[in-house]
Amino acid sequence: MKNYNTIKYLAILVMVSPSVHSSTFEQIPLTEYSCKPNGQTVKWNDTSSWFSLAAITNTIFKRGCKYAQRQIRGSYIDDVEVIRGSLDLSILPGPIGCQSRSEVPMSVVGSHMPTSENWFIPTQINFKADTYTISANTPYELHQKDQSKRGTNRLDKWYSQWIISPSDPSFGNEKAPNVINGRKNGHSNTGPMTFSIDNNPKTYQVLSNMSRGTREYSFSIGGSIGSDFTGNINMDWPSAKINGEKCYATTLYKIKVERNAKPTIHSIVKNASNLTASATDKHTADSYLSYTWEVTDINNRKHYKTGKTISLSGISGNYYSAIVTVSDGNMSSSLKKIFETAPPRPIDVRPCPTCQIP
Amino acid sequence: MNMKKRVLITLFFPITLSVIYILTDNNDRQEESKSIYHAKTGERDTGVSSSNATPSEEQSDTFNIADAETIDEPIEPLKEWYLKELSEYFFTEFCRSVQSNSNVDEYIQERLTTGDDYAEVDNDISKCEGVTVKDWGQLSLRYEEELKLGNQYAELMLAKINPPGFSHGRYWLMQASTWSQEAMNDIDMNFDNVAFDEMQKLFYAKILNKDDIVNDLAKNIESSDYYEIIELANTWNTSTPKQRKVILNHELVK
Repeated sequence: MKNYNTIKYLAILVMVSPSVHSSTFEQIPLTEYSCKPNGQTVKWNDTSSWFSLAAITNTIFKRGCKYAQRQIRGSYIDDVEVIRGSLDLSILPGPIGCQSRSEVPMSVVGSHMPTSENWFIPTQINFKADTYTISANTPYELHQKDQSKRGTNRLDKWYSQWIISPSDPSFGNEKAPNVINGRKNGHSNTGPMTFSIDNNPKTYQVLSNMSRGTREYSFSIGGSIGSDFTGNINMDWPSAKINGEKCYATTLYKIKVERNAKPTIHSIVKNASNLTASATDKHTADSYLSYTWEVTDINNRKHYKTGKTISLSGISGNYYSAIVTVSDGNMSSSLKKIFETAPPRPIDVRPCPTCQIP
Repeated sequence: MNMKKRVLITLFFPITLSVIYILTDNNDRQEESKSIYHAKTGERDTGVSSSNATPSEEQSDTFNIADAETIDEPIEPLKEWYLKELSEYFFTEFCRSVQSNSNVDEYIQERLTTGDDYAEVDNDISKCEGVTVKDWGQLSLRYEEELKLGNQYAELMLAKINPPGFSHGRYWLMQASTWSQEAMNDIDMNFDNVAFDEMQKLFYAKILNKDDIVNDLAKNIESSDYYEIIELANTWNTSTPKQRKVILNHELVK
């Protein structure tokens, strides 16, 4: 029942999308999939959320590009081999639609670079997708990457949702995918799991209440790009060459959510008149860590600074101590180091009583 | 309980809860506003050891009061507010590091191995007892409110609390760099960590005289865009903070 509800839910997701004519969308039951161009009906036994998402996603593209009245660039649709109970969906790492991968894909920012891997290969399905490992309760951000010039505000409508993969051990033998938060409109900026990349600087979100150890989640982002069904395309994106077409972009990622661990500070290094802290965090890339400093000079005067590297200008004396705190937004570590540069010793000009003068 | 009563309770209980929530939320906001006011006037006791540095001893900013139309207070109390907030931010982040350890004994042991003495560690633990660490999002909201009230230094705090890798952090750092030399220094020293796109990178590299980076970027950027960015960067150097905000709204830089 849950499986069916999820599919129904995903179907609603597609139906409510302004870029898809709801009247042309039919609800797809889990075990029947009939989107093969030749009309053949496909059945499968796998009930994973990924499989379902992939199927729905594939449907979106087909429908979208049907309206485009032009063959989809790339080999996405043709690559889908739909044989009873077998589906190769290695198309999933990137967007599927009218753009090439380099034009559209999103990335989860804040995490380290994703690893691309074959995964979720039970008997009949072969997925390959980028996998991000993030931690609960730390901020992350979604970006479109490889934009030729500027900005992250290129998708005019987009949606996202989190689904707990049935591979989550905490769910035991339960096979049903579990939608955590439902569809979220990328234009809204309220509530958790809602992202805004359209001219709103507040972009990051925190995936909270998921701290029961390491779990795997699936995450899908979908949307339409610059299309208004009349062929009027946002010309601010010339590189996409999508004039007159309905284009859809959907990216499916595997997100591994682990229990957070605090950053490790390796060193504080003095270089010329700067101090630099070196720290690493298992889940958070360096640029997304916060560095705060307290530097105490010889007169016990305290100076507060931020950044991985700070300037010591304005800090007098040859002795000072520095405490750096590195935070991932959820957990922090601190390290203290004392620096002392001995003043030049005066030359001892006293006569040496024990010295013998030749 | 008769059916009518049940229906009434079912209907009105959630509404009553909502009203209570809205009212208490409002009270919290008023309390927050008060604390902001007190912070501005230097009356607030944060319970946190603040910076001993006087504003005049700190690095001077190029902020020009004449350019900040919304600010109707003298600059010094605002800068004092900023320094106090910064020290408080450090303190709470430090306390986050204490609280990030589930086991106090392990924390003590870890500190002792890095050369700290026991009394110092014990003192840190005591200081941080009961301190509530706000997340960056909560802090951001607070400073955004403060900024709306006209406190320009809240913009610098926003640049300080948000890591520069996030577009949120980059945005506030860029905004603060229109008037704060400190923000510009932060960009300078952490250039690679700021989430600039190529145009923004070129723009700030030019302003900060990072010639190697400028030359590198010149190879990848269309020449018309390149020259426009260079022109904007040159204009920046002779512009007021208000004019610089306009520059940051330019299509190529924003």
